[in-house]
Amino acid sequence: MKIDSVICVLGWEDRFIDGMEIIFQKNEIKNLILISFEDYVSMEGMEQKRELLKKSAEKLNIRVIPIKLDYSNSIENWKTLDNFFNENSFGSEVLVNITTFPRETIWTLLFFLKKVVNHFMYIYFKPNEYDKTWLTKNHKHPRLLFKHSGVFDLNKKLVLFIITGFDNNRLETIVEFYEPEEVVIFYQEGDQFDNQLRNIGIINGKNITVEKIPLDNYDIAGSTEIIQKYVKKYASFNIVVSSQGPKTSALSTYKNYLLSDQNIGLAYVPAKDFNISYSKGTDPIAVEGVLYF
Amino acid sequence: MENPFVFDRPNNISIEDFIQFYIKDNMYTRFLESTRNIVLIGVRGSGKTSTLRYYSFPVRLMNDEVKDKFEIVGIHIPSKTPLFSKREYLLYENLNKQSVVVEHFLCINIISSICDTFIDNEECLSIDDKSKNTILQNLSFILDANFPYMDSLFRSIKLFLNREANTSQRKLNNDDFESFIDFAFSFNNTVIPFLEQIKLIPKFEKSHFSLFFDDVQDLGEIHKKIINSWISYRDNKLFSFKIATADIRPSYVTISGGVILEGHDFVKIDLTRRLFNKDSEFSLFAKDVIKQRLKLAEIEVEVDGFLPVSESFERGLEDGRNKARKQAEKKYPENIGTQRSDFVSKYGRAIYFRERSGKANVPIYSGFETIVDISTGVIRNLLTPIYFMYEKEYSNQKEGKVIQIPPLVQKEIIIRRSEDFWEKINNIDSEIDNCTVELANYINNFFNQLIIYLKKRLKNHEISEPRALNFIVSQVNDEQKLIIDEIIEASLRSTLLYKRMVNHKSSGQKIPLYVPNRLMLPAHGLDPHGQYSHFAIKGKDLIAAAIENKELPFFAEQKNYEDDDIQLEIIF
Repeated sequence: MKIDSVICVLGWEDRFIDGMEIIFQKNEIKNLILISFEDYVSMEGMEQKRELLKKSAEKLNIRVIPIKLDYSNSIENWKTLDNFFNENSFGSEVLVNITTFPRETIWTLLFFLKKVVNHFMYIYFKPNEYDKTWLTKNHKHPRLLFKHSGVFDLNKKLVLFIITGFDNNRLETIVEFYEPEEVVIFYQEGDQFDNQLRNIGIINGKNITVEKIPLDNYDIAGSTEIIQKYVKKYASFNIVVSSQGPKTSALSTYKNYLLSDQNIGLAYVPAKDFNISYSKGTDPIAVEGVLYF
Repeated sequence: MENPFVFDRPNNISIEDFIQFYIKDNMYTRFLESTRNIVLIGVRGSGKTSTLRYYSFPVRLMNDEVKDKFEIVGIHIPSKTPLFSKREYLLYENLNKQSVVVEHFLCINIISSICDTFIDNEECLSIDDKSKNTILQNLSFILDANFPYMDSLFRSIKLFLNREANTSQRKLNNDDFESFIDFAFSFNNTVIPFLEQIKLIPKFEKSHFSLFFDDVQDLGEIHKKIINSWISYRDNKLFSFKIATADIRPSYVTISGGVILEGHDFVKIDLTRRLFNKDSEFSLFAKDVIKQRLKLAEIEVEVDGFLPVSESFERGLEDGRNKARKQAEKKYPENIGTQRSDFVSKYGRAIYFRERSGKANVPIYSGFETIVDISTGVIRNLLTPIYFMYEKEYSNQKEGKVIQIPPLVQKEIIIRRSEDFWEKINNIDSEIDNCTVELANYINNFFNQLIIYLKKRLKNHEISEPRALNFIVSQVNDEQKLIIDEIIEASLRSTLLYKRMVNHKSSGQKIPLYVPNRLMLPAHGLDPHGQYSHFAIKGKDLIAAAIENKELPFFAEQKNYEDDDIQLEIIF
């Protein structure tokens, strides 16, 4: 397939470089927009993977356009991407490899991307396995994404939608932070869900109604539809969506944000420490598709 | 049957139930009913929201104890609104523009809260059509806006406000967000005129509006600075602020870089004084709280009967006291004054806990006083375990009514919660904001060493305060201070520790006394009752415990110890 630009975030996991090689093999690419978080490039394996990627791109005559961001500075990152998209053009066929993107960067990118294209292709590579001990630590307070903070009605109560993933131990923290009236938990079908709630409907002795909905985060269209159903069900509430599931859930939540006429707020929980052994291997069968704005 | 010990957000409880549940502390009344600015400081769960709600207009209106319902009109203004989580203001380069945006949403929230306060009580305000029309016309003129006309004055205003809130949020989220600046509300051009207008309602003619800002610790720095700037107005005829915060060190800086001063601009009320108090003030308060909840749930039993002490626990404690009594008789054959009884009260419990076999199960922690001890003087810490005990007992028995929590159920819940608490310490870097893996490691090391140290104290036969649990940090140099502050601050934020300021007896200086959350003790078989005492940990020892996982030196095991190792005299 002919692709004008591929956008990716430099990662230290096997699946980053393996995934990019698969993308290079299958497509004819003009530009590679390589986003790197400079405050994390000192992580083991990061520089090595950057060099490997550059060499592969060079061989295939792919122009590498670097964007340097600072993970701990969301304000500057926003401005950098804003300027970048104002000053450059990337053609109409764009492929975003979301595998190693931070969630907020996916959403930020989509905000700017939708100003220049009406659709984009996405691809996501699952690893063969995740580390059993921990994945991320040192989380900061939940944040609403710039320009995606929703439109809240003063007369409505708050419902929190939480798309859970592999790091479920922050559920109570998020609930404590927003103190919603109700919580809807969307959990991954299968055995990955390790629910921390002891009682349905009760969180730490508080009366909060909790609804739990299974979905398949890797089926973007299907999960978008399920979330959309609950957005409609909770139309009399202000809605904040906190996505902690696989990266693909960032796409279904973004689609729902667009469908809501920008009324729902998108929240994320930044983490500062990442396990160097976050994941192992790469599942060569990628989750991919096209998303229309 | 509904669990009477649910510790929910006080705003979720009906006013009728709230008035019945709430145990008034008369200490605060004269401040919260005054026209002065007040800063109410208390850890999470210490009852700040309940206290503010009790003095809010809707509650006072229904409260038979309040004679003049309109003299002080309390408006509860929650900070937990997603409007305040919006961060678009940070995208403005200009700091003035940032503050304009933040002030706008603060003002919207204040006026919205004022409307919510009166919407359900408008009938009692007896607003005639003439007053209503005048107010709406005046506000239309002042704010240069058309107000929708509805039967209810406050519904009309709220509808207008909702439209403005909606429009401003959309502006902020769109590309032309610079246009927002000319459009924004400020305290001076919106809230004050609004309060002046509602004073036209005859019932409010002589009223003072008390604006209760709750959970201010959850606001951004810029929000706090703006509120501090409003506090610095000092002219409190029309309105005053009552600010509740769980901030360990609240900021008093204003938006212009000035500082508001305690005594001049505001009066500070510190709820943390309950944390470690010589008299049993909190215990009496806790008993009243439980008693009231039992009464409302129609459970006709005394508090001590509802939460009985295990026979074996009580017998063990009594054996300990008997042994201490025998030792006292030998030690003080003359028994001058209260020598023997002092000895028994100091060592009785310690003997029981220290003589328990290492292989024995943990004591059957039970009884009202034990639960009060474990609460560390925080009301939420008191009610939450009883909530879970009630749930457990409810599922255990078939009659449908819980009239007692058996000691074994109490112990099971206490131990489980204590173990969960240690799990929380182990995962501290996932629990709180801004805690690195390294800092989490330091905190884990320190608390593990603290437990080892407390066990040594408890087991020692020689020292005078074997059950002391609270500590001060002494002899700290500048280099050590940085890391110690980081460890202490993170421990305070996660409620592993509490802090209260005490006076050093000889120097008169105020120093922080650190009170470990006593929920951490039962999992290690330690005595949560503590002792009216404290010990000092030297800065270098705290650092060595945290960074190198070294034991905290125990002075009784060392040949040469300095005076500071024993105890500083402090006044509570």
